[in-house]
Amino acid sequence: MNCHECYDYIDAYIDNELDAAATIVVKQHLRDCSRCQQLFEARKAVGALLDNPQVRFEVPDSLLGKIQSVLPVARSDVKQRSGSRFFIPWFTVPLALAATIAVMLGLLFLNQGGMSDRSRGNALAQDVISSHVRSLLATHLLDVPSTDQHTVKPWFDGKLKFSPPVRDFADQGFRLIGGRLDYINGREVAALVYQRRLHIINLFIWPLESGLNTASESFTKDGYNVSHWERDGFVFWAVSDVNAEDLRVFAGLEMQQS
Amino acid sequence: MNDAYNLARWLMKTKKMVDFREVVVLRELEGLSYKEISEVSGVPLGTVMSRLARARHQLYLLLSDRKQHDLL
Repeated sequence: MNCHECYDYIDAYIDNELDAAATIVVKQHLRDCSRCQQLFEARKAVGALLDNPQVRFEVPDSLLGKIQSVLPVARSDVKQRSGSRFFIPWFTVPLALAATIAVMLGLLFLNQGGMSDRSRGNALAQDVISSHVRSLLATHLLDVPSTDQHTVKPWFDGKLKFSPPVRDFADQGFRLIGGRLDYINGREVAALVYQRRLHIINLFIWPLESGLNTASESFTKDGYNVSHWERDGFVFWAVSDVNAEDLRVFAGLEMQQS
Repeated sequence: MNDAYNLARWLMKTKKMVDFREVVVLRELEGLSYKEISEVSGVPLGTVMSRLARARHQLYLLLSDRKQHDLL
């Protein structure tokens, strides 16, 4: 046996899958060849790692239940076939578990968090832009028309379960013109309305703990500039047709501690 | 280095290497024999062996954090 052949057989040797004659030949080669001995040790090291209980965990019953509940057809199919003359190998169940484990491992460790945040962010962005557009179309821009932050802020009291921070940036060219209640992603939020020249900026605010928060970013979607950030326990989403630079300045002003 | 973390990353990172992942999970996590893996995967026994060898080699490279190996 040469090294190349040994490489072909080494895994089967480790897994006790070789017949007696081949096992003896591989064993003999390993004794005589330090290089293949090294390969053998490397394979054993991988095997030892895979035996590590850390790489396994029990799939929670709740997850199995959920998977089964969305697979009514497949499950009934299996039952039906179990009762028939078809042979179902015993390893069908481990196979399903293996697939589950692979999926779970992936969900746990691959940076899926970012992706889910992103899709959640996209949904929010769409929601926020829709609210902005509605506010301009339906002549329902303002519930409380006022340029006075001390009028707008108290107006929200009793209408929302939180008191949004309200500030005017008229001196910097972003005039507060009022506020209204709005509805974003299944909850009531505060919408502050600012004016920049002829452009309207809607600033949506809700508490951070609502689970809707995402990382700060600015982007353009459907022709609207959108910027969102977090400050002092609140999530802020600003949307406007004002140019991106102006919106960034606005966001910068708001982000500054009052 | 967290080996379990690396293994998990490998299992998912190699999306294009579904065959490798399949054979590793079936063999290492589920303990199926080569013949059973062959039946489940629908590939010949020789293919199971070569996939397993290549998959383990990839794992070894990953776990030993080596860019190149000098075994073969």
